[in-house]
Amino acid sequence: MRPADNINQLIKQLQLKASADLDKRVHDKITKAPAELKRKESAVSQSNIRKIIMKSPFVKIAAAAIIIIAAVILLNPFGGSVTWAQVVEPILNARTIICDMIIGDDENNPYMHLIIVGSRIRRTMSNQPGMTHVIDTDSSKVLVLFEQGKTASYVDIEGPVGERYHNYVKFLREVITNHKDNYHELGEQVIDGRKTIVFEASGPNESVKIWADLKTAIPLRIEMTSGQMSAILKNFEFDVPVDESLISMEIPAGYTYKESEVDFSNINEQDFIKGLRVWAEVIYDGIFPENIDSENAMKALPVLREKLDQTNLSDEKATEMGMSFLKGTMFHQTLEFQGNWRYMGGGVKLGDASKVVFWYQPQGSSTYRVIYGDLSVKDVTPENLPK
Amino acid sequence: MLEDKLLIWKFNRGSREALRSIYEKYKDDLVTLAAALLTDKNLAEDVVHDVFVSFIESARKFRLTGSLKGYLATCVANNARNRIKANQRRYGVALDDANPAAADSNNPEHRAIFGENLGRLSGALEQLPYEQREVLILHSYSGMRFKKIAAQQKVSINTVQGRYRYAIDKLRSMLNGEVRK
Repeated sequence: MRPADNINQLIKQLQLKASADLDKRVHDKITKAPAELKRKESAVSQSNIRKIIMKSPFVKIAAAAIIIIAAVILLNPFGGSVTWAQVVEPILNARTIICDMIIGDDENNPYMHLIIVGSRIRRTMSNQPGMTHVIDTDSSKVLVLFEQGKTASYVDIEGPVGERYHNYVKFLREVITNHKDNYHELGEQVIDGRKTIVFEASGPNESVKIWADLKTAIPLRIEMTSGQMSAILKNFEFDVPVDESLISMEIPAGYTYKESEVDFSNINEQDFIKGLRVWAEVIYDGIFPENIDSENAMKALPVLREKLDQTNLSDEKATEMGMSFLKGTMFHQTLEFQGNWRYMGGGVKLGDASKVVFWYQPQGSSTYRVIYGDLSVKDVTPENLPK
Repeated sequence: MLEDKLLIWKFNRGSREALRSIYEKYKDDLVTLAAALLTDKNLAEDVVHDVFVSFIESARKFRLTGSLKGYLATCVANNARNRIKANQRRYGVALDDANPAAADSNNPEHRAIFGENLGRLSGALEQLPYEQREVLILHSYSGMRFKKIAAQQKVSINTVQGRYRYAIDKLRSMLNGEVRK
């Protein structure tokens, strides 16, 4: 035997060969996996969104914002002994789920109240009182109800936005299922006076922490991160009877149907650049924000409203500016499906051509698009990409 | 590293060939890692299989933030630990005491798996508490930093370093003991 001081060297010499049986099993799996590998392709290529709402510029902006920002959240998967199996069971199998969702990791952020019944989701937001969405993920339509004025509109969310809704519960359940062999038990913890057991699961692009009641195994809180985003879900109720009228796609009695058009189709780099300009020029007084994620976008909306109110812009111009902001918000979220991106504009002055604000890799491209502080754009090779 | 980034880039765009290349590139290291952790080659291959199945399912969502090898090694370690924990629940054995078989550094099974010299090492590894073995293998075989292991095991870096020192001391003692026999 070698001297024990060489243990590290000895360990490095350990070397086994994968067996032919393992090779066959994995290669078979790869061969049969094209559907999995291509799964998101169609979602990426489709972009056909239309239509929305209302009269005053900010009502239009706010209604559109909720659709888009919430869509961003729905990108995020979350998964979940008492066992892991017991804890995730209600999430996987409940006919109805009621919960609150906070965007970001700050408990003080605005939250969405969600009632999920099969393919229907009813949603209200704490910072947008008087506005309710009923989403039908089967038909990719959203019924938007405005309490003030008692008006209702239908929004078609086919394409990239709708795809996120469509996959919401299914996606969530897939992630939990995928993590069934890849979770940690983190021990017990008391939250809100209740004893819980905590599980954490992590995948290549997401992590999920679930607090479950130690006695009943019912999930009490879920924190999750996905890509560059995070959210908290809490106040769960599972399998609570829900009045059908709450998730009906019919316009309620006493409401008047209104139609208007806002187009979120074909969101592209130019839309994003216009959105960046609104972030820096209008919202942050000439400086790019620390980040442009959905959490920050939600916080920025009231500021945008205030700034637009202070201007003498026409309704049409104000709406256009608000929509530019939202389209810009949407653009980099679609990159979650299409390629790498990084925002690095925090503190950069609008107009500073020497500083990089954002880079991304268009789908199928070997080079990157880099956007600078003056909002100019250059193609850059991977080795020259800013760190 | 650059090659891995290119493979991931292709993998995220649906390339099965990229996936095959990733498997071929790392399969032996991952099987070795899992076998060193679990001291069972069949179980080790099941772990590597499961890790690649999960990896396939991550297609189009995967974003590489560190090294690909490190990521796959972490997945293998997580999967192996969960199997050990499942055994622990089933048989009521604490993770720190999880020595699946009657440990013997001269166990012929280990020699059959790793060869004569390394078989003794493997047998000695099996006698370590699982948490210590995991730290030692991840650090010494996979080159993982203590900080990352600490994050993975949800313990402090001091605890990880302590486990590493205990593991080295015990192995040294066991292997030196054998030399003296």
